[in-house]
Amino acid sequence: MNGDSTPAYRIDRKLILMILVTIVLFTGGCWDRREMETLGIVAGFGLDWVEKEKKFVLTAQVIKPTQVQTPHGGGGGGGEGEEAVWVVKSKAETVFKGVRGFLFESSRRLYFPHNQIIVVGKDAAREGVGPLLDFFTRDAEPRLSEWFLVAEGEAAEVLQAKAGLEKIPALAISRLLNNYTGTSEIGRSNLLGFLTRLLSKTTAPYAPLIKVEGEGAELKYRISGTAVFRKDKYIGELNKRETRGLLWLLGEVQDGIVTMDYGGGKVDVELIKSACRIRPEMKDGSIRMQVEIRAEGNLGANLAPVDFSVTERTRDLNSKLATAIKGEVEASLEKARTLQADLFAFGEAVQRKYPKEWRELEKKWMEIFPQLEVEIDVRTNLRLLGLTTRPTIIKEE
Amino acid sequence: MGLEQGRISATQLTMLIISFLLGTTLLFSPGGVAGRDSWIALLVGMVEGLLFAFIYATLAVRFPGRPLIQVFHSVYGSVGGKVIALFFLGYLFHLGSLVLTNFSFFFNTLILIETPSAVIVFSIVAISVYAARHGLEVVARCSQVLLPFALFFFILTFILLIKDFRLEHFQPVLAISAKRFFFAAHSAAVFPFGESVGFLLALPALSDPEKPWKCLLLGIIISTGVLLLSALRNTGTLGILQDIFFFPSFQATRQINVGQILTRVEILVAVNFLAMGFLKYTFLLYGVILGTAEVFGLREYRILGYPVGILMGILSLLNFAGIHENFEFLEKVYPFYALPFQVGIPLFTLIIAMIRKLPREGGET
Amino acid sequence: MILLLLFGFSLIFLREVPRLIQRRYWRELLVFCLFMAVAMLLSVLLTIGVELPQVSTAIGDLFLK
Repeated sequence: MNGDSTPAYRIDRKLILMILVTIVLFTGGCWDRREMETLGIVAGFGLDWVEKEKKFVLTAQVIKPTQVQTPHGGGGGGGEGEEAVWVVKSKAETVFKGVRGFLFESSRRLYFPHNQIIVVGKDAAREGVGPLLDFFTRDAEPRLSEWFLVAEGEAAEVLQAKAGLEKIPALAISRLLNNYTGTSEIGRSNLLGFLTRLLSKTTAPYAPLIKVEGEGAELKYRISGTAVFRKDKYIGELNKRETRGLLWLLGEVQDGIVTMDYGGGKVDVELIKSACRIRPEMKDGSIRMQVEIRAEGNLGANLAPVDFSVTERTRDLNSKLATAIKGEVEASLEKARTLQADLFAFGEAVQRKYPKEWRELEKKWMEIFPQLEVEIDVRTNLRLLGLTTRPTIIKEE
Repeated sequence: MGLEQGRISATQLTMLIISFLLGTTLLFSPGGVAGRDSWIALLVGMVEGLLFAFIYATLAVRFPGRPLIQVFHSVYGSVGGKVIALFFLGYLFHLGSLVLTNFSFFFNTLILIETPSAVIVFSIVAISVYAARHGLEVVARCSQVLLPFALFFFILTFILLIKDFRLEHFQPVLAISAKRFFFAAHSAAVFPFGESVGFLLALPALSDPEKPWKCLLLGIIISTGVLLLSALRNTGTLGILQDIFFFPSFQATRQINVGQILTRVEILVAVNFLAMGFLKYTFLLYGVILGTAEVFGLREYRILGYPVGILMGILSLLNFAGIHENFEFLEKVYPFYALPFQVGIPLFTLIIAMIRKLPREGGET
Repeated sequence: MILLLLFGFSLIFLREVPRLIQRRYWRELLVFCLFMAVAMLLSVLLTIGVELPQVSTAIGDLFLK
């Protein structure tokens, strides 16, 4: 301040400061104050469609905070029998209304920022997931990193099923998807990825399929394949082999296992990493896709009476591996052609390289795509053979 | 002599310019109309913005140390000068209220959903008035404190997102029509670079009156660098998705996830916006009260702090009925609306001053 | 609400006016009161719920036509 502040003035300022601090103490956060005890944290969210009533059924898996804590420093893992989650349902014409509809049953306002998975029942997926996506992008609470899944039956069943090792089933599904690399046969898709595909006009979105098995209190789930969408509607599915083919083309294969017949026995190769490059070539107005896949793997299991420590044989196995990979990719391509779904973002690749021609191609891409000629070039390398040199099983001559 | 007794150094001014230009643009991506090419539009817009800034610097060097309102007086005469000054101050006043509106829309959408917008606006007004009343030196020093933090947070979010960037999101490059592209570039020039016209009011307080061009140049280039990284980050992580969000920067930062541990740091974006937006608003408030005090021939400007601050706050509540109107205004109207103030008045003043060979040697006009 | 508002405004007056009178800054006092009067009027109107026009939207409409 200026130099005219007398001592009396300073006391005044102290008084004002005290008043202000007191005000702050009593008024801190009037409107948007949220206490943990007033919120129900949603871990998983499900959506089903009832054709008869033309209504959505929403299911939420809400975490019970008191049941999650491990009482004695990790000794035993909580009260036996008590579930750590509470499943609540709601029915409404729109998703947003349904979310508010949870409040007819729930004493706490449901809180979405920590949601892990979104499961859509097959019927709802056939009807279109647009209404759901609108809620999850427009609302401020949900995040785009949530995993997106399609249930073989009803989404509600998936959210009621128990996880073997985790207390919160939705969290278990999310972790399971994070570990997809172990098999590289799960086509996982979070909201960001799903939406990016949806907004690109030609690429088909996909999501893992989840299936519920068992009855009553013993419901369990497993990933069973990949659901394929056109726009926001479910149109078909890929099995696990086709899913691997898809992941090859997306360059997302990591640690999967490829099993082959070799010399009268089975040989497993464990993949370590892969890369894929898709290059469109345009000649005289027709397009050809050139796909180059590189994969590296280790010998994982050798049940054939063959000694792979000989370079020649490893080379032979290499070419067999390449053929096997090619087979997976072709299976996937074939399925995509019959579904007329550009799962591999070939359209995007063409757009990137030929932006001008693309304007014309875009309109009839759905007709072009099934006829596309795809040239697949697979290069593989076997690096390590594990701990043993020669096979432990030697067949008698 | 002007009402502003304080002097600021070239470094302080540069930092203030950077904070000012980053004020609202860290959230409302400039040149966003160009989609995945917004980063190129930004660079082209910077060139146009530098042309604007060159006008301001030339004008300031021509009248070293003379407050802007006195310049208007000597160029247009007493009455004409006052009218032009009021128009110019009116623009800054409106711009300040727009900053406050942006604040209330952003916080109401994402963070403080139920808090009345008046509360958000007037809490910012309160501290801004406090800072602006203490003069340019205090405002400049605020930016010296806040800018390093903001840059640090910004670069942190950028680095944490690098692993999520996808090169495909940038291709094809420049597939949009030329008209759309240049319009986007022009939008980026007007918002934010042309807004540095407000610094015409602060340049006389520069301790080294020969340096305004250097400060403006450096300020615009550094802030372009930051905005460029921001555009690259948004396109790289969100790709085509950035077009459907009102606040792509916030959504992009939400994607940060380093090993499931370092997540949910998007509040840093809000903190940055709060800090930089506060400086932008405070500087505009300072400029308006200084200019108004000179127009009315007052002996001090701080007395106007409260009333003008409150009026800006009230106007901010009256600006738009909804967020869509704000974005439509920014996209369609602002690139034209701002031109007379950002280019028209300074350029016209400069040309007339040249024709009339002002300022004359020795003595006032 | 209105009482709170008037209380806030009177605090500002109390803070600024005595200093101006002490220094005999009549011109400043006049301009200050003018601005404050407008601010008070508008905020009272807002508080009692009078519909005021959307300023920037109006500017936008002017330009888009």
